[in-house]
Amino acid sequence: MTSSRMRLLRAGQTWGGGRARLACVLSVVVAVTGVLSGCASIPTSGGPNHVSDIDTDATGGYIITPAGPASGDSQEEILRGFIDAGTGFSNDYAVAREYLTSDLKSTWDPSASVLVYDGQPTISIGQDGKADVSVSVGASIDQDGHLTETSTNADVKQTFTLVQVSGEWRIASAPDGVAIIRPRFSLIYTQQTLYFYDPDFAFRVPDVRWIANTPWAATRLVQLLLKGPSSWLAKGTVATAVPDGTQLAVDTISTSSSVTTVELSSQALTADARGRQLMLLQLQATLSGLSTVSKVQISVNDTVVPISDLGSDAPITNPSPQAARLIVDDGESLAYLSDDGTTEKIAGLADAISQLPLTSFTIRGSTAAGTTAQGLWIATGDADAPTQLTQSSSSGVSIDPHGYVWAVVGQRVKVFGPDGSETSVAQSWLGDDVISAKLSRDGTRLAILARNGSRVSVLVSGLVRDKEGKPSELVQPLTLTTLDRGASAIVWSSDQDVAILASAGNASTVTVMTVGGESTTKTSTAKAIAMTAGSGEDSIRLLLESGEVFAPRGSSWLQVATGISAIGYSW
Amino acid sequence: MRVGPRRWRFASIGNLWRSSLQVRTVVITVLLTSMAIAVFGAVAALSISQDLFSSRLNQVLSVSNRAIAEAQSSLSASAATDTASIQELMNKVLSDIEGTTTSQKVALLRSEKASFGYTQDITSGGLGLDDLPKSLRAAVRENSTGLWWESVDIGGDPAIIVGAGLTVQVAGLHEVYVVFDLSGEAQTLAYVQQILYVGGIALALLLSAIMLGVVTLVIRPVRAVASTSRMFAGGDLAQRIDVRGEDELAVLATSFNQMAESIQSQIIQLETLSTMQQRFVSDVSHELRTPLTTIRLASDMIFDGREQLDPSYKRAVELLHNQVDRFELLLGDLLEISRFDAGAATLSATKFELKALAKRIVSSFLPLAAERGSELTLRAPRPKCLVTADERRIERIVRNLIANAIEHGDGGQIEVWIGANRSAVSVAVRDHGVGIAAVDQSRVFDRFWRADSSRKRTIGGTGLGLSIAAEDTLLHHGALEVWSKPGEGSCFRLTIPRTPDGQITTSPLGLPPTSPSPQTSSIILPKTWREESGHDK
Amino acid sequence: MASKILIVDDDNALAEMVGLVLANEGYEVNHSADGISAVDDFATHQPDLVLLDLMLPGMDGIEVCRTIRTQSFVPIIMLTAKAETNDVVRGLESGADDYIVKPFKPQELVARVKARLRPAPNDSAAQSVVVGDITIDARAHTATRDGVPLSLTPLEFSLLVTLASNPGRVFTREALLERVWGYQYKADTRLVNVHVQRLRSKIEHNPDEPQIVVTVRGVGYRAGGG
Repeated sequence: MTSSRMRLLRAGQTWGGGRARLACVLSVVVAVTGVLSGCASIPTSGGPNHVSDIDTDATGGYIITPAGPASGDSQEEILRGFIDAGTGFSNDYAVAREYLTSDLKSTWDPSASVLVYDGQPTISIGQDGKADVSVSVGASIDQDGHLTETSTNADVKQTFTLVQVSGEWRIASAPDGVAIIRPRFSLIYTQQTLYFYDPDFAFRVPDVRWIANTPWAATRLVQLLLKGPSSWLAKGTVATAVPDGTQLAVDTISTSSSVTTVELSSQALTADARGRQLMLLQLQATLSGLSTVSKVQISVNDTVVPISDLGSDAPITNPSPQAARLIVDDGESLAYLSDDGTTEKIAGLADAISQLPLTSFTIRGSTAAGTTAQGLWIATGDADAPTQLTQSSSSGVSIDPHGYVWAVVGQRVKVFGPDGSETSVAQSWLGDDVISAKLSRDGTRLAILARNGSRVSVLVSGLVRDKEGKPSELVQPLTLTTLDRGASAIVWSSDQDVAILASAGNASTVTVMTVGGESTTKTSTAKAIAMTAGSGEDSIRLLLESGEVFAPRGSSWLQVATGISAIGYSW
Repeated sequence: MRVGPRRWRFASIGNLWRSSLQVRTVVITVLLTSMAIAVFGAVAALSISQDLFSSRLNQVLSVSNRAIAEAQSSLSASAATDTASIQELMNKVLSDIEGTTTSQKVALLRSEKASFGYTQDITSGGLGLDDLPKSLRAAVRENSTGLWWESVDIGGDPAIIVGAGLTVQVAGLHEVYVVFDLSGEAQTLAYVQQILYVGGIALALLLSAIMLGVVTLVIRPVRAVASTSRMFAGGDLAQRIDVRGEDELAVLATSFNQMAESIQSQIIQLETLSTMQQRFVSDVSHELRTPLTTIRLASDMIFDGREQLDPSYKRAVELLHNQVDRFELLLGDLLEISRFDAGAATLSATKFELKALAKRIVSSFLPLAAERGSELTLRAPRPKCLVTADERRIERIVRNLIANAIEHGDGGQIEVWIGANRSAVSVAVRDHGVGIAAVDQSRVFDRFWRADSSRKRTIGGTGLGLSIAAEDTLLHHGALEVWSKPGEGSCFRLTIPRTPDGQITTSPLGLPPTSPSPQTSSIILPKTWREESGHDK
Repeated sequence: MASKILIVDDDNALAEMVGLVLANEGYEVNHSADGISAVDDFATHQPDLVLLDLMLPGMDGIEVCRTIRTQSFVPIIMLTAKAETNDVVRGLESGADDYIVKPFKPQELVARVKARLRPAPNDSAAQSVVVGDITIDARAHTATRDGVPLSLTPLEFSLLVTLASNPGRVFTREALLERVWGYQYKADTRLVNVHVQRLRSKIEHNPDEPQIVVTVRGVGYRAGGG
C-alpha cells in the first residue's frame, strides 16, 4: 500500500509541475494570437512613405495591324492598301508584302526610309500597270534613323508597277521604304538618343535617331550605336568607347528579370577596364530611353563581363540641371535670380564685368565673358577689371570647357583663348553672315543662325579640336531647318535641343528644336530682345526691352523680374 | 512459405488497428478533422476566389464604362473628316482609354470594311489580335451597344477583356477591347490558397498531435487497467490497479480491485478446500485401510478354517468374507472417485501396445465369460497399436467394459474391437444382450446408477465402475461413448488420443463397429484358453 | 527352527491379526508399537524378518528402517496404506526390500514373507565372479573391491550376482523381479529401479555414470564390463 501511495504522490507532483508549465504556454499562445488577429486588416494610417523613382515612360508600344489585300481589289485599292500597310511592321512587314508579287516580296526593303506625309496620297494609274503615287512629305527618316523635317511639305512622287496574279492585282515593282501618315507615325515611331563622348570623355554627346517602337527596338538602337555617330559628328567631333569592329554577336537583345543582356563580339574585350566602364555607360544611356530596359549588362561568348560602376567618375550629361543658374544684370551688378524671385549678389568674377553695359554675358568656372555694343570683354580668375577682346559689336558669347571664349564678332564666329589671344578655327563653308551662334555645353557642337538668302538657316556644326583641346575646325554642318528672317538668337536649351528667338512686329517666337528631331513653337506677346537658356525648356528666359524678364508657363509667358538689362546663365 | 512483405504489412496494419484503441481513435479523429478542414478550406478558397473575381469585375466594368463612354463622346463630338485628323483622334482616344482604365493592353479595331482607308487596327502593349477571343469579337459585332466582357488567359495569366462598339464619324463602326490583367487577383488567390493549404495541413498535424496527446492521456490509465486485468486473468491474483483521482476510471479501478479481492479470496478458499479435501482423502485412505487390513486378515483366516465351524457359523463367515471383499472394492472405488473430485488424479503415461494389453485382459476374462456362456472374442488390426497413456487406467476401463458386457450380455457374443488411426486408438466392447433404453443411455455413467434395479449385480460391481471409467477417459482427454438397441445389445467405445496432448480427429472404430474392415482380423483365442476355467490367479 | 518375525505397527489389532496369521504358518512373531521401541526390540529379539509400518508415532518408519539397516541386512518388508506416493520409494531407498499395500490378504503376506526368508537362489556355477573391479564370492555372499568388502543387503547382493553371472545379458525388470525377488506375478518394477539405485550408490565409482550395473534403455539392466 505504501508503495502505491508513494507512487501516487510522486505522480501528483509531476502532474502539478507539468500542468503549470502547460498553462503558461497556452496563455502565451492565446495572447500572441489575439495580437496577430488584431493586425489582420488593411492599414488606414501610418505617415507618408517615399518612393524614389517615378516610371516616366509607361505607355506606348502600339502595334498597328493593317488590312491585307481583299479579293477583287482594284489597282488603286491595292496601292492605297500597300501604302497604309507601311504601319504594320509585325513579322517584317508581312501584311505589306501580301500586296506584292512573290518576286518583290523577298527583295523589297521597307527599312530603307520612312516618309512621313500629310493628307492623302494622290494616285494616278497609268498604262501597262504603271502607277504614280504622290505624297506630301513633311519629314523623312533615313535608314540610320536620321529625321529630317522640312518646314514646308514637299511632294514626293513614287512609281509602282502592278500586275495581275491569279486574277488579283499585285505590285510588281515598288521603291524601297515606307510612307506613313503623320498621326500614325507619331504613334509607332519614337525619338531615341544614341550617346557618344567628347574626345576627352568628360561629357556624353547625344545623337538623336528615330526608330519604330517595335519589340526589337533595343537591337536596332545598339546596331545603330555600333555603326557609329552621324556623319556630321563622325569627323572627330565625338569619340566612342566601343572598340573598333565590335558587332552584336546575337541579333536579339533579351531582357529577363529586368536585366538586359547585350551580347557583343569578342572585340569588345579589347577595351581596358575604364574603356569597358565607358562602353557600358554608353549602352546604358542609349537604351534607357526604352521603357523595357532598366539595367544593362554586356556579355561576350555567353559570359557576362563584370564591369563596375563609374560612379562619380562618369562623364556627365551636358547640361546637368543643377549647375546652371540664371544671372540678371540690373544695371549695377550681377545677381543670381532664383525661381522664387530672390536675388543673390554674385561676388568675385562677376564684379569684374558687371560695370559694363552688357548686352549678353556668360560665366563658366573661372571665366566670365560679356558682350557690349562696343565689343567683347572677358575676365578670368581674380581680375578686377575685364579685358577687352574686340572692338566691334558682338553677340552670342559662350565659354567652352577648355576655357576658350566663343562669340559672333562682325558676323563671323571668333574664338579667343583663355589668355585673350584669338584662335582661328577653320570654317570654310561658313560665310560672313552669321547672326548668332552658341556652343553646346559639352563643347562639341556649335549651333549657328546664318542668313541664307531671304531666310535664315539653323545649323549645327561639329567641332574638331587638336590634341591640347584647342578648337581647330568646324565641320560641315547639319541643317536643321530654315526660318523666316526674324530669327535673331540661338541658344542650347539642353544637350540636344536648341532654342531660336525670332521676332516679328510686336511679338516674338521661340522655337525649340531637337537636333535631329521635331520642333515646337511658343509665341510671346511682346517683343523680346534677348534670350537665354539653362537646361530644359523651362529654363528659357526672355528679356524684353522694358527690362522685364519672362519665363515660360505652359503655352504662355510669365513675368519673373523687372528692371533687368541683361540675362545670362552661369555654369 | 514466406508471406509477401506487402501482405505482411497489411496484416500488421490490420492487427494494429484492431488491437490499439489509441491508434483507432487518433486515426479516426485525424481523418474526420482533416476532412472538415479540407472542406472548410475548399469552401473558403472558393468563396474568396469568387469574391475576388466579382469585385474586380465590377471595378473593371465601371472603369471600362467610364472610359468607353468618354471615348464615345470624344468621337461623337469630333469634326474630323480626313484620314489624318481621324487618325489623330483615334490616337487620342486610345491614349485616353489607356489612361482611364490604366490598362496597358488596348485594341482599337475596325469593324466594317466600308471604312477602309480611314483607320487601321491598333493594339497596344504587345496585345496580338489572336489574343482576343473570336466569341467576344462576334458578340461585340453583333450587339455594339453596351459592354461585353469575357474571361481569358493571356500569356498564362488570367485576364478580363472588355469589349464595346465605338462609332467613329465618317470612319464607321469600330470595336474597342481593353484587357484587364487579373494576375494580381490570381496571385492573391494562390497566396490565400497556399495559406489555407499550409494552415490546413499545419492545423491537421497540430490536431493530430493534440489528439495523440489527449488520447494517450486517457489511454494510459485504460492500458494500465487492461494490462493489470490480463496479468490477473493469467493467474497473478495479487495484481491490483492504482486508483487515481475520482473520475470514471477511478471508479473502474476501485471496482476491479474489489472484484479481484473477492475472486482471490474465493480462489484461495477453494484451493484451501481442495487441499483439505485431498488431505482428507489421503487421511481417510490411511485410516480406513489399517482396520480393514485387520478385518481382512481375520475374515480370511476364519474363512480358511470354515469347515471346522458349525454350518451357520460357516455360512456367516462366508458372507463375512464376501462382504469384506466387496467392502474393499467399494472403498477402493470411493477413494478413486473422491480423488477425481478433488482434482488429485494424475495421469502417469507410458508407451504400451494396446493389443497386448487387450489380449491379456481378454484372456483373464475368458473363464468368467465361459462360466456365463458368453463367447468372448478379440478383433484387432494386424499392425501394432502403440499408444502413450496411463496403462493402469486403460486396463481398468477395459476390464469394467468387459465385465459389464458379460454381466448384461445374457450369454451372447461379446466382441472386443481394437482400432487405431493416426490420431487415436479405440477399444469397443460389443455385447448382444438386453441393451439399454434410449432415455437411459446418457445416465449410464452416473454414479450408482442401474438400469434395471431388479437385476442383481452378480459379478460384483460396485456401481461406480462406469463413472470411474468415464473419469479415467476424461483424464486422457478421450471419449467414452455408448450405443445400444434394446434387445440387440450395447456397444461401449473408448477413444483416446495416441499421446496425452494429442487431438482426436475421428474415432478409428465405428459405433457399433461393423464387420471387420480389411485391416482388422479376427483373433480367436485358442480353444485351450476358453476351455480352461478355474484358472486361478 | 522357526523364523522370528518382528512386526512394527502402531495398530494393535492389525499387529495381533498379522501375528495370528503368521503364527498359523509357524512363525514366531513379536510386536513393536512405535519406532523407538522397535529399534530396541530388534536388538533384543534379533528377528529374521521385519514387517515395518511406515506411519509410526515417535520415530518415523523410514528412520527405523535406516537405523535397523545400520545394524543388519535383515529383510524388511514395508507395510503401507498408500501405494502410489513417494513414501514407497523413500522406504525402499532407506533400505526396505519390498512393500505390501494395505489391505492385503493373508496369502499375499505369507507369500512375500516366505519369499524373503527363502535363501537366495544360487544362480551361478562359478564360485567367484568378477565384474569390473569387484570380486564376488557367491557362496560366501561377499563382494569385495580391492580386498575391501562391500556391505550389501542380500537382495542387493543377489541382484549384483544375477547380473554379474550373466555378463552382457540384459535382464528385464520383470525377469529380475522373478529371479531376485522370486515374484512370479506382475509386481511393482519400482522395486527393481530403487534397488539398482541403491546398488549403484554402493558399488559404483560414479553412481551417475554406472559402469558395473548398466541401464539398457527400454529393456532393463545388464552387467557392464567396467
